[in-house]
Amino acid sequence: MLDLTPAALALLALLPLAPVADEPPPPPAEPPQATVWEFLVDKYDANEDGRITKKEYTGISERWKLLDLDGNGWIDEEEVESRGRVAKPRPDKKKVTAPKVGRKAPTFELEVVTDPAHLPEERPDGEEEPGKDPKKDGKDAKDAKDAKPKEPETIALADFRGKRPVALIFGSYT
Amino acid sequence: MHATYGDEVEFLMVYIREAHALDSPWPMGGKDGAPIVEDPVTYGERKDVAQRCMQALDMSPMTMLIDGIDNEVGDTYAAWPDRLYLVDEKGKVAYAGGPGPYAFEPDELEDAIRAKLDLEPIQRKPKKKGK
Repeated sequence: MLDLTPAALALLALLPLAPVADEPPPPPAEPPQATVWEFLVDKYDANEDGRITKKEYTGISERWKLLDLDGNGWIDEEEVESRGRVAKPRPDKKKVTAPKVGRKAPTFELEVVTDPAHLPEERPDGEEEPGKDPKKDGKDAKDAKDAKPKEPETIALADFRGKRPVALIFGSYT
Repeated sequence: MHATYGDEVEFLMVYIREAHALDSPWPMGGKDGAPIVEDPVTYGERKDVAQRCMQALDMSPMTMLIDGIDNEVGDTYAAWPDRLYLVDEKGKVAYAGGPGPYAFEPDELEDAIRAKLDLEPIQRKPKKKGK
């Protein structure tokens, strides 16, 4: 079972109730992962020597400093697994004030995140969708090919003004 | 809550800056059970992680929006690491929750929703304060 952070558990409290007993739960989206070190070495240890050097690390340099705590130019499993929380101030030092009750909510328009499980399956080039006649649909295929890329869907907070209240849940996966 | 009030209230999840990316000052992930996420540095990276989140937590009944990598909306709402709001039909803030994780209270949001919809308040046991 996926262990969840407190924020993720709170978010789940907002979701519909679990499916009925005879409906199988959806499969987990991600393979099980053991440790942070295994994740990092799989991604960055190009020469597979059990260490990740600054040269091998392809992330941005500011992030490297948070990994290479002793500053010796490389990280290993012991260093990564021994990290606890680093008592540092927030990355940005901007003073932020939350919008107050009774005041106008700041407007925004943001892109909708699409669940990949609900996207149409991508087919290799040349492979037709079952049931489609490539000759009959030749014009349609050409039109589709020449069509402009679909604009991402966005939603604006103002879309709901005069219609219904909006509950905003801010958070992240971690 | 979404199942109960979703016909009358729009629920929007806004995906913001990571709270505990492994390369952040507050790393979590791996052996402590939390997902392993490197702090996204591009909009595309954040979108990929948001999709992972949506799938892993099976959140597709709700609409998820993604904040720009400049964190403009998250900062405007002082939302990091997590926060709840209710905006009424006039576009005004009807409820502003405290900053998470300790002041992130879904019960308060539900109380605000019920008040907005003129529903009877739910009788809740007072929460015990931690020692």
